[in-house]
Amino acid sequence: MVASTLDKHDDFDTQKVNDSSYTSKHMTQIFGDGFSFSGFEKDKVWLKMDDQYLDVSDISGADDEGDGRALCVADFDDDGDPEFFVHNIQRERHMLYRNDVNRGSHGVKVQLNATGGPWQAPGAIVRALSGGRTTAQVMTIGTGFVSQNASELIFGCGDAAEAELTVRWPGRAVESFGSVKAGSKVLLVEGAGKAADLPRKAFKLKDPGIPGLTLAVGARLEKLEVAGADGKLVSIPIAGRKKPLVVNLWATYCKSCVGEMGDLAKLAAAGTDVVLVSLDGKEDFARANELLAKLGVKLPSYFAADQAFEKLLDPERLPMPTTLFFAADGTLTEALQTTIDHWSGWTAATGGS
Amino acid sequence: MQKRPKEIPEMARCWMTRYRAVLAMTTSVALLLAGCSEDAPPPAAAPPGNSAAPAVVEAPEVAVSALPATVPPIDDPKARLTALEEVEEYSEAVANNFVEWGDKIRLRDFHGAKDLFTADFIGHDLAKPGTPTPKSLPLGITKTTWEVKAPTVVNRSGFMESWRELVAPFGTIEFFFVKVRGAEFSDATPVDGALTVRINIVGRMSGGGRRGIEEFGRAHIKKVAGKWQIDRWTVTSLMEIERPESLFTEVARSAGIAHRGPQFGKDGNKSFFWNGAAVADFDQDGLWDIFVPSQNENFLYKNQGDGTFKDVATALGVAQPPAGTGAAFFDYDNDNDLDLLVAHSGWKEGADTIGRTTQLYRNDGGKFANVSAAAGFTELLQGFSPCAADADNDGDLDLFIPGYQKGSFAGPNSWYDASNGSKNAFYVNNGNGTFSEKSAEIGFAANRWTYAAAWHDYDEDGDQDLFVANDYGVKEFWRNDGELKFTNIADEVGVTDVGNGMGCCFGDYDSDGDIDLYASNMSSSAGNRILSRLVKGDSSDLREKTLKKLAGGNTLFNFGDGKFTTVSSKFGGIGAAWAWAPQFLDLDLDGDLDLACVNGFISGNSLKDT
Repeated sequence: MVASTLDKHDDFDTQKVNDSSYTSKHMTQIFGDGFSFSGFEKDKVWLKMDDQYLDVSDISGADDEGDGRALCVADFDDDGDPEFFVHNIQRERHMLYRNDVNRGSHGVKVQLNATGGPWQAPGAIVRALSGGRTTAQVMTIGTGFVSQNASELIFGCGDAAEAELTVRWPGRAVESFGSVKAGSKVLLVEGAGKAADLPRKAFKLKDPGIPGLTLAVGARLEKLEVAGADGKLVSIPIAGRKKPLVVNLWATYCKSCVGEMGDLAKLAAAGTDVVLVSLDGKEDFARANELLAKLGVKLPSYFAADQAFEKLLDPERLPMPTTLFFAADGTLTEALQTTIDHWSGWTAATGGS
Repeated sequence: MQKRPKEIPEMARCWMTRYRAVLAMTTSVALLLAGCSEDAPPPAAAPPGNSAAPAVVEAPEVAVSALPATVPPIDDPKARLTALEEVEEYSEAVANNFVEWGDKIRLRDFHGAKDLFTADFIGHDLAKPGTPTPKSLPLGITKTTWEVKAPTVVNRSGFMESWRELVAPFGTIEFFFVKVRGAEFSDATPVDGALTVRINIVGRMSGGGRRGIEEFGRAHIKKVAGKWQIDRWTVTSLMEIERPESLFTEVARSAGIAHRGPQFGKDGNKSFFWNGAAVADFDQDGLWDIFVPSQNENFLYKNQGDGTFKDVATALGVAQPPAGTGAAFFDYDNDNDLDLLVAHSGWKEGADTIGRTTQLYRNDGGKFANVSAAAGFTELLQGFSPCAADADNDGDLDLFIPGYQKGSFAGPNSWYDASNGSKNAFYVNNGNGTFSEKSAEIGFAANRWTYAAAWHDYDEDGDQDLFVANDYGVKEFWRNDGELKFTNIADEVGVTDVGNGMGCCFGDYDSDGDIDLYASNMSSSAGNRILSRLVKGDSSDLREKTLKKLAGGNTLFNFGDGKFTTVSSKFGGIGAAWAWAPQFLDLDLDGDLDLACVNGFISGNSLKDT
């Protein structure tokens, strides 16, 4: 077990490993040295479909590699479906996953108020009969690992219009609350025998910034430092221009990027300043230029230069193609993360062609 | 543009995982095995001659016209290397080779990536191994499985082209990994081996949407001039999944709750403790707020109802003291507002106190007052996941706080039945604002390594029973027999689930109206490799039932007829990896409970794993 730099100037022996204080320092040092130990494992999400759990982690958008520990479920935006919060052990520590499935009013949200015992009613079993099936959930104060979920149970109704609710109160009898409509948010008070509607405060959890882009829409950029075909740095002024500038970020391996080169040329021909910046590696500069030549695209073409670009974007997270629209004063007015023909200004800029 | 952190010099050494320690114990070698060489394998006891292999002049690639119709099957070597620690050293070296190499594929450097393969390589076309069968699933998901049938045989150049084609639909590759799921090596010189590999590629498609690829295969690898190279590759299965949009969007930064901390192991982040979270409507305004323990000061994110949160921890008196583990909002004094309890890790080292005791904050009309000592929380615990219920049915909330290791890091005294952890604490609410710790009287205090627990009246007899998830051991299920008497019936109801228990949650996964159980257990590729070798051909209970289970990952239990039955194998793939908090949730509101589980131990600067 010679793993950490603690051992660099010291002979390793198993005696030391059995010394807990040494092991403690050693364990810490291993990670201080930057080693991974079952690292870069993505968080998992499984979707229940019929009689199977389908691993949908890859398409979940919640498959972070960040060494999660706590996971708490709640409908944070009160729109009817569950979000979840994750606490990672390092780096980006707080993650909030907004549910974008957007199934609308297909569920029933249930809160409890016990009167025969503690009002929070931990341990109460709530059952929802909907669409011919009964699904049960337990109210908890603490579950998972170092996690507490919201004290609101969310029952999906699928295509059913309502759900019939019962509660087994902790230590007491089962109480029926009758049917509630899909889309309801209700409070079940012990002994009331009838669900009480709770007010909804639905709002939208704000969209995140642009993936992979450090520069926010509305921010100003003085200049863009890129590399020419010879590898030398070139500084493109962004602020103080006479007219707006469109910067297209692309790569030879991105089919959509290559496919929209004709449209970008068309945009330039219609009078817009367009600059291409390839995110291909240095080794592929020539290949990228050859490809542009083959396509007959004669737009100014540059390549991403590591240091300058790292301040602006993270190419690993940046979807391609991404096209940046700068006003004449250098303000980033829009970042389009799809092909240029989806740009709202496309028709106006090209005359509808 | 290489963005991954640079490799760390002199760090390509091995770290004996806990699995290796199991291996060491069960094979009667030293508890922790001898170290590796400076630059990973070959190990000290490697077969002679590997590093002295003469330089090889690269042969030309196999001409397309000379390619065989099929690739010979890649079988395990007949004369297998049996010294487990040596096999694992080789496995680790090969696995780490894939890590460095994977960066090239991710960056689409196919020219550089070809060096992992010999010039005379032959293999299956990765992108077209047979006939695809796309299936449209709910939520706009398309899952395509390939029947591997008469796959095209390609030479090295053709193989690299198939890599290019495999990743072509991705505009951005966010994740690329080749994991070595199984490996056997020959007891010969030069050494060669047969690998079972899993490729996972995840990213955004050109033009939008998310896509994932999972491909299994077999590879034949050999050491050429001191370098591992692959000369054959066959595809076993290929599955692709895609959706026009992701199911979730991460919005912490726009919601105002993003928090970037130091890398683990660096100054300011050397603790395994403060990683919990608790959600509650602490101010009863109808919106869910979040409490997050942290190193220097805790966060209390008040949901402002406009898409953002505001940290009010300092203003409301819960920012200090910091560094708690798990937390729970509960009304301990029955005054109809939510108080906050934060579990902590604390112990004595000589005269010094490290960490601190459990903290209890009483909600006094919106502000919180620290009443820990007055309420009876004066004992140092290694507390992790507090959970509350009215265990004695007297009308107030009692509290269970699981306890993990004893003091600073000290290893468990058994990898599957450890009994040298710290005590679990059980606080009985006295109904007058104070608690009495009664774990010893009840029997909860046994020193297992406990990370989590959950209350549930499994037999619906009117009192709350308690499931306890233990690391390095079996789990417990305490039946509540009334009057604060509990009996551990884990064996009787089928939930001992030996393994590295991390978390647990109750929920009705099959919508049959009763409450089932999902337990998260740590698992790793290395563990699977080692333990599968350990149990090969040995049907003893220890090896077959215990050791094999240790690498089995998460367990899903179905409840029925008063017992829990493992149904994990029916749902192959719910095992996660180094799993932590699991939760049930119906994310698509279709009436079925879906699952989520966070994963991963420590991701360092290096993608190479220990």
